[in-house]
Amino acid sequence: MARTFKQVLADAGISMDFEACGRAPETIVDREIKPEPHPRVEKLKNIFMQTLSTANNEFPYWYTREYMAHDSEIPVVRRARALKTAFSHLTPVIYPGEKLVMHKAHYFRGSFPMPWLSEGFYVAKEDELFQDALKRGSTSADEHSKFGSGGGNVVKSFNKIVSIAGKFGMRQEEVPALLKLAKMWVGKSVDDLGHKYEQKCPDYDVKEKCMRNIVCMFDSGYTLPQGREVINYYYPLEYGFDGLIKMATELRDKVAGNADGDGMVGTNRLYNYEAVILVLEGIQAWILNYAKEARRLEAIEKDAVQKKEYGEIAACLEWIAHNPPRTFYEAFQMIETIHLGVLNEDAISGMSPGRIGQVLYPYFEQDVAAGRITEDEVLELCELDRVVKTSIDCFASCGVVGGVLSGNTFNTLSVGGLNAKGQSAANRLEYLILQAGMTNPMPQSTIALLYDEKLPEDFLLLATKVIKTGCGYPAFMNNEIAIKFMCAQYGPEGMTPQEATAWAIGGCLESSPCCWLPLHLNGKEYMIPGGAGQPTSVGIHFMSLPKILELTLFNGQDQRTKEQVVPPHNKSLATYEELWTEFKNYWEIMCHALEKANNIQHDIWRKNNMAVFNSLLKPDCLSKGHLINELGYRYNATFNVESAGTANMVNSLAALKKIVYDDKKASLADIKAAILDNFGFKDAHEINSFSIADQQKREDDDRKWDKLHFMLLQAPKYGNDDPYADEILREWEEYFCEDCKDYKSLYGHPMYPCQISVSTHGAMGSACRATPDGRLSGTTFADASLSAYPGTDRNGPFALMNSATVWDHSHSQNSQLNIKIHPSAIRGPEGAKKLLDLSRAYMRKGGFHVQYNVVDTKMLRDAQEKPQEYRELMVRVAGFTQYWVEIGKSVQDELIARTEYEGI
Amino acid sequence: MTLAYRDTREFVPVDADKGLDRLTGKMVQADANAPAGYTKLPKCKFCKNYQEEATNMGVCAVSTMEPKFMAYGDMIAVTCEVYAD
Repeated sequence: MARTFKQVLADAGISMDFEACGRAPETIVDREIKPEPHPRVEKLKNIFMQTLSTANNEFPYWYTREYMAHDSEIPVVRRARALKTAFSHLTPVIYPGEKLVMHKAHYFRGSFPMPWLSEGFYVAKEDELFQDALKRGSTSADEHSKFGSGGGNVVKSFNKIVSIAGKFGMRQEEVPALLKLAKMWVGKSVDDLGHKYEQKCPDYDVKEKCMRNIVCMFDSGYTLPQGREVINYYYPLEYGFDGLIKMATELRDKVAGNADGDGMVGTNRLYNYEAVILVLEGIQAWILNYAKEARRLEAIEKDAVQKKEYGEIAACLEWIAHNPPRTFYEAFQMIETIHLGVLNEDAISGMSPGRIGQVLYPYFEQDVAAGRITEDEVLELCELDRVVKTSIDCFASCGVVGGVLSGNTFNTLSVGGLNAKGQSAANRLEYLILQAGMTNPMPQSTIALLYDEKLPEDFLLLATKVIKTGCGYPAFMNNEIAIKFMCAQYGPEGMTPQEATAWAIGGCLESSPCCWLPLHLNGKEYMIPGGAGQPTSVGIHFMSLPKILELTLFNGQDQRTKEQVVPPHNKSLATYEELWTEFKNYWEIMCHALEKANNIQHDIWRKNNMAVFNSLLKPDCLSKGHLINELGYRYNATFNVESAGTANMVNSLAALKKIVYDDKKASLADIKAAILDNFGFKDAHEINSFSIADQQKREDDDRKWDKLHFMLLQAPKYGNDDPYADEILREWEEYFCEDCKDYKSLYGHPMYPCQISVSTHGAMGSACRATPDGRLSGTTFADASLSAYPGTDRNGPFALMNSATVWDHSHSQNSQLNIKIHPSAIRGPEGAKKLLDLSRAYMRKGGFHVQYNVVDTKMLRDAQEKPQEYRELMVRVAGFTQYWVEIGKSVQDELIARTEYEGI
Repeated sequence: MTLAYRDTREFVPVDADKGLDRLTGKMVQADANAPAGYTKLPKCKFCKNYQEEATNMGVCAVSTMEPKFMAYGDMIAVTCEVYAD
């Protein structure tokens, strides 16, 4: 057996053992806390655990049938008619024991394709549509993206089930219909029309090469055009669906034929209101179909308790289909319905419920006071909500769902923060939401805790207790930093400091603009928060910083494909300053190419595929009469630039600066040669392991690169409170935060940085050759944006936090730091206190986000060998939690390799 | 007539492969035969308006489009206004 990277280093006397601050116990240590959910929840969870992700054609069939019948209709009305018809025909399914009902499709983890967005990627591989899609750069990410083979993923076809996009199972009887429906959208989908017009950009060639070589991870406008935002439930809660239809009808009649001074889109309001009415009618029909099904089940059910519950479900649905909710249960069911409805309107990941503990609090407060519900019943509903949210799948390509999302759909909820009066917003319901995250640990909703110094200590300690279960949530997010960012980014659109306090996390950790609105219940007014902004993470997607450095070192040529991605710079890179300048030049060339192409894709989306349901929920679409596509939202400056691989880029620049330019111990030519030879190691794909620790030397290696490799590995590394490396991070961040303003969205607003990895560090690392920091070819990058590269943070978590906060995080939408801690390091109440102190210290230093994987690395290794024994094991990947068995191997390997802290 | 579980109203689909038998509460295979007496689930393939042209594929005869819009036999028609048994 060839020697591994870890053995090679040990031979050289270099400590890189992936443990810090002590030694782990010899045997596997499980997490300390293991609470259980209510029996009803346990039963439904058991069904979930056996469920395969399943897609069908019902929604796309009815959508397409209606859409194609009205080709001369106004686009927004045509789309609304199609949505209404599709919603009206969804088959209802209610599982025994459910209290919160309704599903995306009639399966437990159901979803469906939307060929009007993109039709090529999921058809049979021999089909010409697929072959055509393959020629486009956007499919390259699929090749480097893999799902975990366990859990609900259908990675292979079996029996009469066909695997699609590496995750979804579809009945073989449905596949011919899928292909026929898909072909109806050829040349009409957002993907196809966007592709047709993006080619008119002078730098289109650069854009396609970026995609093909995975400098950028995926296109934006047709993959997941919405999401990474906070939904707003206010209007249906306040007015009910009948009230909203009445409102839209009156406004439609008022504006019909009136431009009201807006000669461009003023008269569009008539059609927009018409579309709103149609879609609301579709949503009502969908709810009432479920009510009818509940009545049918009530009539045939023999068990008295279950029979009564079906009756209560029917009564609830019959009421909320028309009216504002009266109780906590009705309000919870209504927001669940709205949530699923929005997710069915478009391909969406990261449609976050936001601060639902504050949205639902009025109903909770009044029901508990009146004795209509007990806290235990509320806790059960909160646990059930976790089953509902974890069951939400999003149908998209393997590269998107696997390579980026790891199958998660990021329905993140937020707790804490400040209320509209500037006081702690934590309430009793939020304690129960946190508790439900512990008693029913499931990946969704991932919880974001909006940390503020005003939050009660026992609330924060409860949060740390939840973290200790190993569920990977709640993450600590810095309220003060986010408010500063909100004011700076959305101030020009009128955001006040008071409104900024309504913010919440959209997606995994995308700070999203929200607002306060007055909810009235039984004569009492409550200010509740809700989303008020467009989607985020829809600008320039996931730029691989180590790959850009590779292009810089090799004069614009990708060293994996040998394609000339960007024009040669023809510079000798004789100084560090010249290297840094050329790096930035390449970055800007590619960002500008992607900016324009994505703007075109989103422009096609807004013309033909605009959100109607999501729009009517968000202020101020209803009052303005304009939907998302006509700047109806209150905040529109949401498009951003996403980066990936920050730590590897910083470490690589630090190594080059130290070894080549400052100490002159090696030449750039030597390092380039060593990179091309992967320092004498096999490629990660050859051994099918993507962790740096497991990489193997080639049998024919003559060790000629060892000395250089060791030098590069021992060069200053980010995460050790070492100014040499940290200064490079600071310089990058200050440049990055400023440079993003040069890229403008189609809505005319400047972009800003978004610094999360999701799962891109796996796929992007897979496509990147060795890097000057000593990382080897094909191995996964460091996760997040401020996590240290595995094995390189040797001075403890406080040193890591010092490194992470050398720049001002309020200049970015987010930053991300994940830390892996051995369960024994935080045992007992004292351990919880230490964890809180550590998190608080980071917040006080100005860090934006920190979260922990409380897990024994040995358990992860065991789970990789015996996945069947670990179906319920959850891990924090980047800004989200996922079942271990549903994560692709490249990210699993990286999770194993992450430095494990044995003490804090 | 013997029906597969997935063609009955007593079948609660969990995923493409299996579901619950609502009467027994047990998890069953979608393609397994359902017990006698289980109710037929409205699907296009059981509808008089469905005209099959190829395996699992056909047209809906009441479609107002020309040519008639496609239909597929396996689609559930519980919510279809023009389903005719």
